[in-house]
Amino acid sequence: MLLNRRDWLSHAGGTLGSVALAGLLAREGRVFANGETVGAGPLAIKTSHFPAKAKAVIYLFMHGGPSHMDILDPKPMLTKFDGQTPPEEFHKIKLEFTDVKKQKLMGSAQTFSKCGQSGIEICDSLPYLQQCADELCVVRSMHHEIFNHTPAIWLANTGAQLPGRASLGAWLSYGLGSESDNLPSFVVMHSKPLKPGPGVWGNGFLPAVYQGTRISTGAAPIPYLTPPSALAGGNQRAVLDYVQGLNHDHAQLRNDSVLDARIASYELAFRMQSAAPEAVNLSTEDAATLEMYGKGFGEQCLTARRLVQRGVRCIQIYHGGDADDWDSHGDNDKQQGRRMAEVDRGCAALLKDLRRLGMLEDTLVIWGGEFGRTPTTEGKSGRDHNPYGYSIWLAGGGVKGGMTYGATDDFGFRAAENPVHMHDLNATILHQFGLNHEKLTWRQQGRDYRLTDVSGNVVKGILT
Amino acid sequence: MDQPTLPMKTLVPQSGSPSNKRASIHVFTPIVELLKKYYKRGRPLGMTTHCGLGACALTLLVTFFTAPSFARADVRFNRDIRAILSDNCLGCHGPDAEHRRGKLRLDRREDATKPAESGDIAIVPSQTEKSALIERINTTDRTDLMPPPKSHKALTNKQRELLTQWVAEGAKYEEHWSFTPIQRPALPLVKNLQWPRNPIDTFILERLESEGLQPAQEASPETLRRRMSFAITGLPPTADSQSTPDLDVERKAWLSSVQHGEHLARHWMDVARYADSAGFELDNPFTHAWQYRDWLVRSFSSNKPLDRFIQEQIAGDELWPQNDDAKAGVLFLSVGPIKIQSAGIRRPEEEENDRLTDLVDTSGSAFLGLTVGCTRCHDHKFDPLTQNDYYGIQALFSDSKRVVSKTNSKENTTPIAIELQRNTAPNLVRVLRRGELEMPLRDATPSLPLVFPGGGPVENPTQGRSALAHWLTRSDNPLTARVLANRIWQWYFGKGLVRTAGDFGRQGESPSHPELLDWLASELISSGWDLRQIENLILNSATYRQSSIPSAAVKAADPEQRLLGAFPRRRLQAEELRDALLSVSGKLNLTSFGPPITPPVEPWALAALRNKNWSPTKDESELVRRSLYLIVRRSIKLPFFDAFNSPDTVNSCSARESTVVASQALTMLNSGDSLRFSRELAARLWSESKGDATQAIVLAWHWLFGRAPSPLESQKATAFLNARESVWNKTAPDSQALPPGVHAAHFIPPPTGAAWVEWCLALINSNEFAYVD
Repeated sequence: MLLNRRDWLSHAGGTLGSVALAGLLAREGRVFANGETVGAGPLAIKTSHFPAKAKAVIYLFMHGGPSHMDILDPKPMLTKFDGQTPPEEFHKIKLEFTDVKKQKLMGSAQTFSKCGQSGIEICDSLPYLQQCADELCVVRSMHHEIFNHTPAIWLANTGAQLPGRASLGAWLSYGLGSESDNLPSFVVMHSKPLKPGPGVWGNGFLPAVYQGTRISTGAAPIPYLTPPSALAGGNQRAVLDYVQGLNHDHAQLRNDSVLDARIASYELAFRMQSAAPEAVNLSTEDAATLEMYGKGFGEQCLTARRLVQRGVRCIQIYHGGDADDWDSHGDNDKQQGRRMAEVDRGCAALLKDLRRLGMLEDTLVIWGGEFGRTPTTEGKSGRDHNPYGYSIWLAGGGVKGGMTYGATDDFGFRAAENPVHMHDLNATILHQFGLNHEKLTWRQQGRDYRLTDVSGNVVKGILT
Repeated sequence: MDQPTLPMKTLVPQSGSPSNKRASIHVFTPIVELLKKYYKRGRPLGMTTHCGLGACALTLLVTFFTAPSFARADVRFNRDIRAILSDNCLGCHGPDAEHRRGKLRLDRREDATKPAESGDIAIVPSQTEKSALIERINTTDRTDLMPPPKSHKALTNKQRELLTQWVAEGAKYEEHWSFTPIQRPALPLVKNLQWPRNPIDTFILERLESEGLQPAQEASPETLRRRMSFAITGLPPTADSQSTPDLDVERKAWLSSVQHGEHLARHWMDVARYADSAGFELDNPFTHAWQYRDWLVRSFSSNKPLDRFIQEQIAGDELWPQNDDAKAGVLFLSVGPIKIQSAGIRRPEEEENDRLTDLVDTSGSAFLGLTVGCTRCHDHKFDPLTQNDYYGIQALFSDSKRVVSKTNSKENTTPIAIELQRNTAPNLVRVLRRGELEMPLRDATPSLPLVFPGGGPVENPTQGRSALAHWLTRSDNPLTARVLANRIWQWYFGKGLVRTAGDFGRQGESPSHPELLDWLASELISSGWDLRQIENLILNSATYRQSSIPSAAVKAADPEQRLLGAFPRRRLQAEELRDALLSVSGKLNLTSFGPPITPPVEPWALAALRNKNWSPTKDESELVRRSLYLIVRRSIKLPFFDAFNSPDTVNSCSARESTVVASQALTMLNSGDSLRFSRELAARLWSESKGDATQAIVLAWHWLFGRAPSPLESQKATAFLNARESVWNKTAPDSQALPPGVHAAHFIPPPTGAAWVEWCLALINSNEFAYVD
């Protein structure tokens, strides 16, 4: 049985109690052994470059590449010329598996409706999301150059196709600190394995304190969160008090802020043991809410909302992977349709719930994958990867609702109007947090690195 | 070097041994004797005339003992001036022509000393009154003042004085420090003659004294023993509370042990971006990489000369084709990340471009300490390297190609072996605009960087790597020895003299002690690239032997610990921490060499991994081998190592992070491994103490902390054990919470056993265990 923090403080007494009372938080960066303050800890709240519009981001990452022509970017010309060889101007497009000139144009089997007051066209396989059309900013002109999954997912997350750079969530934690005393500021959920592995939410060259923490639902959402079951009958606080007693005696002679920080990290770990299970425990939500979100992906969306309420700044939910991926090289329509059915309810519930709770104004929601798909066939009925033009949507967090932005060409091969590069999207996300993407830098190997590498422009046209 | 070198042992003071003359003879004598040897050998590199133990050495020694004090008289451009100009002036008066103001350029002497647009001359050497720069930084007229007030930059009085003195002394510019020839500096003069034990200390002390500071006291023998044991072997000293071992004897044994080779191998694996798998989406396991790891262990254990150590990694196959050991060294070029394609359209020219990019970037950082990667796309903005230099080195590596063999051609994620195969003629490499294959500018010439001695096109491009290997290890290469000496220093002090150990360029940090670094570099070269020589110098230095508790004055003046007025405390690295846990719990299997061991990991750790390919090693005794023998997968780090800052294995890692985060605490408190270590440790303590808690406390303190417990510590430990035991008397503990396997020999009542396990869990979580003083 764990004691809560106040119980512990009331009986710990003596020097240890006062140590705790002095604020054992890495994020406050206090040195308590001798009462002096030596600068802020790595997770101390930092001032943004300019006032922020968003406090948190929920990034719904559709792993594998959703097919824009079948979801958010209807293409009548594609339907009209279905089965024909694509125009020559597209023949030189470099793809991973197919040679464009040898493929046929393939119209969408989906139907679309104009939705809400804004009349945004959304595919009819997303009936719940259609109800939220006026919250959405659909960007139809996303693009970049990387046509395989792993490097493209790295690019989306870290601004570089090769591993080693810091992820968006890590940059946000580095730039702004943590709002939460007892939860990580960057949390990731996924239910399937990812092609690039867990490195894509890593800290890269930034200090490890900024890396994302993968959580799952249930009693132990974070690795090693609870004592091993064999010691469950014990009293971890008693063990920890003894450890901290040893550490305090050790630190007193040495007067070293790093040792004090380690003492503090044990207290944070102790608090996380009760805070994290509480944060992901959905049983306190009312029946209507649970019903609205649905199971699976919906539960992850609801968890994300609870985490935002508890001060978590960046939440990523990866959807897709293995056989249940957005990567529809064969039977595109069936595979895309299944994925849409899995996420539709959760996405819409999240938007409605955030709106109801007054949280959508400062919570940015993003839906999108590492790239889109080709207007041309792969095999009989599949679509290949297409990074040169694809769609995502954003909502809340200072982004205009009820609009579309940019456009692809008549078939959906390339971004043709107001192109938005992945770097532009990342620059825009940082901008909504009050961060100038050119100023948020880390010196490494002789140069200043940033999330947007050497490019990126804030997409002003979609901001309120 | 053509100069004969003295046998190593005559150079190493055997202090602390019974034959030490220090106690009986005049206190300075050993230092004088010792320093004489260094002065005798102390001619600058590249000097052709021999100085011998002639007039110059004697003069220096006389000065050494007579000079009452020493103060810096001269102003040095690199040390004192460069940063002032760079931070305050060069934004408008630097190399960038587009943003230059007043047609004035201050980064080059020839420009700074000629009339600018206004007709004024910024710098008239030795004539401060005629130098516009001096006038403009001192004026009270705000419209004339430099830097302009609106730039929000302002010089301090000290900076103005330095600039003035520098101009007065002739405004001498210097090349960036690491590109200048390595000169063996004279030993500096110090006031405190008792403290130095060898030349290293004179450099450290001179700097401390110039700041009005004194070094810390010598650390206690127990502290030194634990410090040296971890530094040399990566393991805690095997403790025995009954006897006091002779540290000098132990140190020699440690230095000649294979465990030493293993520990340094792990350091170098960071530099070599080592991993046992290809990375990227498929992350195919490597079947060859471990042979490079074993080569590292052999090389460091046998004290292979470090020039040969470098040559074998670059061109072992070309230089010694009949020597299997040398050929294993060149696997350095084959342990980097490789994109293996499962399907789709293959583009071999991209694969080759990726390979050459990895090789040039990794070698540049590992051996030259230069971030050559920038020059892939454009001439370097800060360092004198050009795009031609970059692709010139790529062309040297193109004398061979990569051959990938799969063990099972049907499976995508099958294990693979990478082999380097020599080309009959080097492949053509092109200089690429912005590094993009679609934009070739011209053919690259296989060549070495032009700005350094021996640069230019190589004679025999079919042996391009041999040329590179020899060039890197030329005694007049200004970078290689400096970079190596700095790495060795970092292995022992935690931080390098240059803290950016992989970046000695203009954007890297300057050395805290440039003369010491040059002295070590020249010592490294003149000793025949003898690693042990440098290690012994470091381990014998008074600098290394200081306490880790700085004086209040040092702590206040030097919070970053650059002056080394105390030994920098450090946290154990991930591998050291795990090895120490195995060692104190009596389970460590010291078997060396062989293919990597795959430990079982929790399902959550593999959940995000697409191609798991994870078959844990079955033999339990293999699972308790040293950490460097555990598999290093690029797509996933072992959870314990991930928590404690293991490197990313994609780029050369020049220094580990040492962050303190809650996930480390959770790992150490709650993981199944921690419980297992605690149970084993408790069992070992129980059987060695025969169940006597008082005795067990003494043993535990020696094993974990390398010292005896204080009476108060014993008392607190006893109190904890008693309190926990009485709790477990009321609640029967789980059998998995008890020490394993001791029931038959020495039966532990379960409440006592559970209390001991909890106590051990507490001890392994303590700061004293995780940090080295």
